[in-house]
This record gives sequence, C-alpha cells and structure tokens, in this order.
Amino acid sequence: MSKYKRIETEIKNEALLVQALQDLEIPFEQGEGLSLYGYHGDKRRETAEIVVRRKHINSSANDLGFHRLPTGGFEAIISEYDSDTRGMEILNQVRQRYAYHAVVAQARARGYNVVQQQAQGGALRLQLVKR
Amino acid sequence: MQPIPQHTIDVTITETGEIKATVQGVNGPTCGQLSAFLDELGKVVEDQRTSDYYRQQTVTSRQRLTTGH
Repeated sequence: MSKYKRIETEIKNEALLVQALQDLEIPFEQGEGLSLYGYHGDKRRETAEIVVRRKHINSSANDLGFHRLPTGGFEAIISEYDSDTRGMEILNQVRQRYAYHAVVAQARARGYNVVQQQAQGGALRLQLVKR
Repeated sequence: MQPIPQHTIDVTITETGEIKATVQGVNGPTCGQLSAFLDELGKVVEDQRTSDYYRQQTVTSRQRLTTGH
C-alpha cells in the first residue's frame, strides 16, 4: 500500500448519468429546462435536464432533478424533506452507479483493465490493472 | 521518460458514490501521479501517503533486479 485518496464524485457526464439510471431501471425524463413538481403537484421554481418523477420515488416525495450547471456538470435537486428518505436513497444509488461508470471509463481510457471484485456490504470494488 | 511501473489501483465505490483509491505495488513520488487521473472525477477530499511511500530505496533496487540492468 502506498497512496490512498478519497474523491467526492461529481456528476459531469450526462451519458454516464443516463446509463446509471438505466442500470437501476429508474424511469426518467430527459430534456432542456424540465419543470419539477412538489408532492402536492405544485410546480417548483427549479428546472432540471434529467428528472425522476415523484411517482417513481414515493407518493410523498418531490421530483428528483439533475440540473446542468454552466460548468457542464450536474447538481442534484432534492427537497430537504426527501434528503433522509427514499429520494435520497435513490440519489445515492444513482451516484454510486454513476461513479462506477466514470471510474471504468476513465481507467480504460488510461490503459487499465478493470477487474470486478466482490462487493463489500453495499460498496462496489474494482481493481485497475495497468495493461 | 521513465516507463510506468507495474501496479494496480484498488478502488472502492461507497454507497453514496464516493471513490476510494489505493495504489498498490509502487512506492515513492511516482505512485501519487498514477492515480491522478481519478482526480478529474470529482473533488479530492483526502490524500494520504502511507508508510510504503517512503520506501523508495527498496523499490529502486527491486526495479533494478526485475528490469535486468
């Protein structure tokens, strides 16, 4: 062991975000400036480019959105209420799956073979082997 | 340019999507560069050198042996 680092993943690649949602079989809508709705069916101020409608989260949730920032990255829009409920659980699943695809894509582009290791608890493990 | 030493990078992706990476098989300053490509995926919140990082002498002699110079 020689060097350890921890990285908070940022969602920067729309195609990989879509891939993550598809892997998890979470239905979503994709488009420019889509409106977000609250759990009363009320239209929210925020808009997003990728949206998981609340009916796919639970009846008391708001829509979960991914809004494209001027930098090209995405920020997740989740209500404060949903941050400790099913909405957050879904967001974390998406983040993990996205991170998986991002690591695999980046590693392959840099000449690594990616070996899947047995998952540990809820964590995914990969071994990157230089070709 | 020096050849890239043989190494592996162990990656764990937590339940919240955080990436933890450990470079294996290389000591010294080089190993920090080896996992630098992962920095582009987000914000580095922790970056540590473990004890092996400082064992440069050992790796130099091992490299000499394996490369046959």
